[in-house]
Amino acid sequence: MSFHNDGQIGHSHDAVKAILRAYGISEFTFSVADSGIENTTFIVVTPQEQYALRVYRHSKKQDGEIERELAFMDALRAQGMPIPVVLPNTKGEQISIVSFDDKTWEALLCEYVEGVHPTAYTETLIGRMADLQAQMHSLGAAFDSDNAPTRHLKHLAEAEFVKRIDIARLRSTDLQQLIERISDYQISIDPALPYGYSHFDFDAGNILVDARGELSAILDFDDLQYGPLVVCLGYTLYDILQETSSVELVRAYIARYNKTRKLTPNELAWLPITMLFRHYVMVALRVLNDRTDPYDVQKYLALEKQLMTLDLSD
Amino acid sequence: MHGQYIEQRTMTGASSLSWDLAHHLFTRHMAGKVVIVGEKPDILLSSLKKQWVKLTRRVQRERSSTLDAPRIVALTTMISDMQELAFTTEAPLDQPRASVFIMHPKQLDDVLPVCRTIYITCSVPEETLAASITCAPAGSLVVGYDDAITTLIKNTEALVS
Repeated sequence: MSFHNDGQIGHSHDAVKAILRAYGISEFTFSVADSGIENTTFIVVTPQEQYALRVYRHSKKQDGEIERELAFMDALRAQGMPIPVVLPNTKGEQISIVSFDDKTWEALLCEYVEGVHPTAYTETLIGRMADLQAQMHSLGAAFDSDNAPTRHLKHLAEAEFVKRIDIARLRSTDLQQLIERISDYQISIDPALPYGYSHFDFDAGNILVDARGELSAILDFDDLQYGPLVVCLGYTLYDILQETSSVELVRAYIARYNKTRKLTPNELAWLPITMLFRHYVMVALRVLNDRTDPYDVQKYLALEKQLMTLDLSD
Repeated sequence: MHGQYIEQRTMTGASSLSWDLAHHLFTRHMAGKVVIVGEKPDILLSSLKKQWVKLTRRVQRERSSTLDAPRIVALTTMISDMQELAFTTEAPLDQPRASVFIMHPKQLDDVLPVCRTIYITCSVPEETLAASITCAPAGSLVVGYDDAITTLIKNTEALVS
């Protein structure tokens, strides 16, 4: 039982070559920087420059969605946020649509930004991330507000991974019950919560820090959507908690975030709910990828208990 | 009696024993371990678990329809507790982690768990019942179904006091 990244482009030289042709690049070497669920990123090196080439999962997105993603990135960059520039192809377009292997692929070529993914959440990094996320949320609430979509995030329910898990094959009864809880976790989101566009995957895996430890880039707006901003924050806080096990760091993040964008009491009350949901999504994905040994299961259960009783009120 | 409480339940035609047990258990399962005495433990286990799952679904539906964050948190914990409630017809020594023991009257002679709730759904010899009730700590609840059983429980009360 494992989750394959269906619809991802192959990691072959021919595949990258076919896409780079749209940019007039023929001489290059490449490496795979990241092959996630939603896209594949290649680092491309030419005799003159380095680039990051992102190819979306086949049939994943409509052009309009990628255009909105680019417009949002532009809006953030215009406010001084560290967002890589998306470069035009030979037709002057930012989105390249390329045929390869009998399929059509959408790709973006971005400037290469020096940096690595941080290996730990330090207090300094958390402070900077909180500032930027709060700024992003303030901008996201105002972004394209006249055209807020009618179809947007209204429920929290894991429907992607859990249905692929064969519960009967799981050896641990505790894990079976956990998967059932994940499957049953369906929450209607309070429409009174502040909504806006945001990243919804803002964590260490999607930022870069430079040699001085400064946050140099926010990457991968692939999960951009219009939804309750507290959900985006909850996803980030979940990652901090599961990486550090420190509620104090989570509280420090919230305190710093509040300096730029003050959370409402209702948003604060919703944070543990969104964090638990994120935990459930991540557990479902890990179980799908056979992370089911007893040590993993105990960690899943312990964090679940912690999130169920987490109180982040002042 | 040693400070135990007695409650009499009367079945109406509208609900089954397992339905009534599940709904009563909903108010008691957090208090501690539970013993249910029944004539046919295996059949009762099956029907009670079915009712318990239905009840859990009801709580899940309530959770999915509320927008109140503290209520969602409380219901999530409740659902988790309900899902983790382990039912068994095996002896307490064989299933020490179980929470609800469904036992035939003859099994009451075995070692009983320290339980906070005992449901009597069939006739039980007076002496056996007296011994069982004596094992339950003060503040426990003994629930009898139908008048005859409740009378028996009250007689037993006289027997042990």
